Amino acid sequence: MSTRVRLIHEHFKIPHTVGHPAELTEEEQRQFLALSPSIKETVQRHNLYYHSSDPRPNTPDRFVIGLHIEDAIYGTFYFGYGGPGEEGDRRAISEDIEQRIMTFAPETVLVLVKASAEVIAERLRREPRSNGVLKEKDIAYILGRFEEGYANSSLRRKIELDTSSSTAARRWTSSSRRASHTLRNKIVSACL
Amino acid sequence: MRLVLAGCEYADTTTLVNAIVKWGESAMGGTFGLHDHFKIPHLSHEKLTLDEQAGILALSPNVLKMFQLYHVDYHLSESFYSDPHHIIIGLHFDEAGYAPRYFGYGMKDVYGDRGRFYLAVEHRILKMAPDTVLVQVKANPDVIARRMKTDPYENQVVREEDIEPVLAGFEELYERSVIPRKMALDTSTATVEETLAEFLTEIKPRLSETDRLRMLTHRQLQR
Repeated sequence: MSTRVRLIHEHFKIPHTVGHPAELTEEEQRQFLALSPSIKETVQRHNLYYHSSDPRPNTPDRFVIGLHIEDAIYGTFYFGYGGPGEEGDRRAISEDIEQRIMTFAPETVLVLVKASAEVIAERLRREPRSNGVLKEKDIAYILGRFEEGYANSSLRRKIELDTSSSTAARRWTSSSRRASHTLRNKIVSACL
Repeated sequence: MRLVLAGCEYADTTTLVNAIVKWGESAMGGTFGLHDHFKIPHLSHEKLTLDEQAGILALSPNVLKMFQLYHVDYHLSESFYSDPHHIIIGLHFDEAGYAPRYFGYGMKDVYGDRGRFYLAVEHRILKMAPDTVLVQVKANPDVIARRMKTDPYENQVVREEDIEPVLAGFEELYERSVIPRKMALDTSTATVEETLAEFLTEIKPRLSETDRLRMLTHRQLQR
């Protein structure tokens, strides 16, 4: 497209909630994890809305990883907020975020990136992340929730990519072929 | 009615805004959305526990800066401005007035400069709601110091030795504000009722046509 994507917003997974200009330090992550569920809920809600606002001038491209789908799953399951009927109910917030996306950038493409439970478990053991959210015992359940989030999404342009056995290059070829019909510069990616 | 109220701690902004909301709801009907939670660590509608406040105060400047960016932005979104009434206390004034001095971020010419942020927020407010009225609430340094001693807040921001420069900072921000509808109220010697009366005099010529119509309609419906 002869363009440069200035920022990729990948900071919706607690405690990795600030990505610019730098990642949080271990100490900052620890401080964030110590906050109460109610404060985590508020901060994450503000984070979601900030990143689904009307496009800033001169930013035709926007890449967001996780966003409302991730927050709804992990917030309720691991961080004690956003359950049905609670303050900041993530079902309602997710619907609102998707409406905002459809208003501000209806050309947005939702990409579900997935892998089999065994592959996720193997990656989790081989290369654990600092303050990773996912626990091995929960993999099947969480994968199901992401499938559900993808299926229920009101975004109309969607792609699923399975990374269980393919390389990044093969995935790119495959996705670019499929995306050529739908891609208009806005991508929301939902993945573990 | 759209208001932004700003003032140094202990200028009695919160006391005044509660009186304004009470007046507004009786004069115009409806419910007034009120957001008085921009002063670190009091970042919630509900009163945070001391542990929760301590958790916020323990955050690094880098994290606080981003949280407050998201926080302010959230309260300037169209969902709030689609309501007929939106009243915010502190907002960008608190950020510009307190963050560089007390919370270690937002200094001039560094990433997240709160002086630039202040102006960006002002332009956003004018875009979203050009009928917004800015109300500066102030008191003289002796009165602020006395209130600080007689009725101290939990985890207050301003230190006694900083009262004068903080007041001067708020004054400068008020002067710099590009919001054309504005007023300053001094609570040093006035009671809440007297300050409310002054507000009502000052707000009249600054009220939007829609708010005037709301008042007329509400008055008719009450008859």
